[in-house]
Amino acid sequence: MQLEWQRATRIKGGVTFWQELRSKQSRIFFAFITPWIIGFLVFTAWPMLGSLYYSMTSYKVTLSPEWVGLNNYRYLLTKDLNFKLALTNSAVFTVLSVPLGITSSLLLATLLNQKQGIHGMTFWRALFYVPTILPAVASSYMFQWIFSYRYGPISSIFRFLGQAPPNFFTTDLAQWIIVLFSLWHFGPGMIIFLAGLQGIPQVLYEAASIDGANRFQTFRHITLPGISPVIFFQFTNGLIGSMQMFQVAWFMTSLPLQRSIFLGTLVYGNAFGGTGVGTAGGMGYASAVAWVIFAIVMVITLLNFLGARHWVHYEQI
Amino acid sequence: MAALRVEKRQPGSAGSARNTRRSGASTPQAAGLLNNLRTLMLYGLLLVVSCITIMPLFWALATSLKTFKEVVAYPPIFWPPVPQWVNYIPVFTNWDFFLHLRNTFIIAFGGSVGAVCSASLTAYAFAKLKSPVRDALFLLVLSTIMLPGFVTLIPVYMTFYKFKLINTFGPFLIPPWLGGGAWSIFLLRQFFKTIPDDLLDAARVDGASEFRIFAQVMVPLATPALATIFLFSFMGGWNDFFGPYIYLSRKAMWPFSLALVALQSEIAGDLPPGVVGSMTQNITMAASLIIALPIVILFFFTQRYFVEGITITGMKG
Repeated sequence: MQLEWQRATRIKGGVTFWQELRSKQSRIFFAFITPWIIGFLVFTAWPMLGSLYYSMTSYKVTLSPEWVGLNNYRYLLTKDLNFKLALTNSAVFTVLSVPLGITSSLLLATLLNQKQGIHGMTFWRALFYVPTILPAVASSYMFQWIFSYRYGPISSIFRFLGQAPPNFFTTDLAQWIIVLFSLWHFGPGMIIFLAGLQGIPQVLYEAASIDGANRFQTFRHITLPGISPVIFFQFTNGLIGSMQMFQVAWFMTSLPLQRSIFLGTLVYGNAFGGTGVGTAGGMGYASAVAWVIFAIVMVITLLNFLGARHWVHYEQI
Repeated sequence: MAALRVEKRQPGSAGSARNTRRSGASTPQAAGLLNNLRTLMLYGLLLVVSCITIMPLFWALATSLKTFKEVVAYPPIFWPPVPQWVNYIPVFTNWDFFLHLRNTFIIAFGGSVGAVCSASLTAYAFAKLKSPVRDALFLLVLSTIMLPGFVTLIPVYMTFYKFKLINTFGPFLIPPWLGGGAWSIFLLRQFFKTIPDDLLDAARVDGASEFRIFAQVMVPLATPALATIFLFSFMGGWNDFFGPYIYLSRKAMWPFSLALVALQSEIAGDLPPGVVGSMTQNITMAASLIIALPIVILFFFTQRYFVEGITITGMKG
């Protein structure tokens, strides 16, 4: 038994792929991952194919799907005004929230990473993380309530300063409320940056200080390249997350309809109804929207990976 | 002697004597003052950021303790003169509090136990068992992290629909048992990889089966990582809104997140005449705080695991 196992794992030369695949340990490997394989087939692979098929059908839950070819896509890309609106809103949200989110969580991580003086680090870190752990329904209620035009504390501050408070939910400021809400969840980003900052070798900073580098130069030439993989990770994740964003828009019931249509809400609205986004296009149409989002996200991610070569330094860490 | 005396007198201001004694010049004194100023500014900044993170929570608490009249008072009242703790009573009486608590708990706990069990099995195989297709399959696991959830949403819904699992806890309890999520697998695999192979080989030589090695050697060593997975998925389950929103239309099955949305209309029947709309915010906020409380407490006791989990994901890049 023991010998067989050793032979299968150690003596690579002369053992074919198929022999290796049928080796004892490989069989045990498959036994261990069987639940995952079933899960992958049932909840990922099959649904992927299924939604691609549905996207070319007209399909309401109670009736069976009816083949319509590329009609859903044609309508979506040329006629659907809601799609245009959703695409614009999601793009604006992404452009505003991703860079701002990265900048603010990096700044806060730098703040917590000061060598001298900060006591109670775990306490501050926990405090900054609180918004992230709150149930989204509850926290978005709280968030809307503080921006309430009549009864909110933000409006009071404006009045206290002798200014007329703006109505956050009926003007263009509405999109900033959503951005602010997403920035408010800076906790995880900050923790990742904190780990990245602590991973930069202290020697580099000492060398820089001997060479007489000032703060900005140190940040530009040591800190920034050192954490560039973290920035890249946050950037990729942020893009994927914000192009799909729907939670916030869904809960912020005070938002005007025009401002609350995002790519995500469009899928839900068409599939299950209830967004007030015109008529529900059914499961087939919703699948087409989902695939368009998927394509957009994939293209951006790919460009992102190609671009990474020029500014992400892996050897530094 | 004289020099010493002069040196002792030199610092005009008290408090910086310690700095001066070190070198005797006046620059360290200035540097010390600058340092104190810097520390002060750091804490000032930390306080400002804390205020921003805590503000919505504070306002929710203040609102939950106001009378109906105080909620809509103009200008807003910062903190009610007589806190109305009675506002918390309707949360327990008018709302099916314990039913929703039970449902929330089933979804959160059942899902996390499943995720821990199946993700650890899968991750162990990917970290420690050899198979020629292992790395290719692991790439597949990683690629599912990037997959937008929308693409699979509709076919997965239809699968549950066909198996008559709508309005059951099935959609929340079955998927976690089949793989436990790509993110959990990835995190646990990273952790298992840090455990030296010698330990496993020793157990193998003693004739232990792979499953015994997994259960009796790996799992006890991986307790912190398993706790991280458990906490993250528990929190995810507790806060989840869209899963229940799609799969549970029967009120008896609703978890807190879904029930909170309906609360406003539920309490309306029991209100004194003339009380409408924003006025009931005190009870909505009381309920929001109550459902957030267990998660906040859990987080403060276990934040170490959260920080570790986030750090491991981020550092891989």
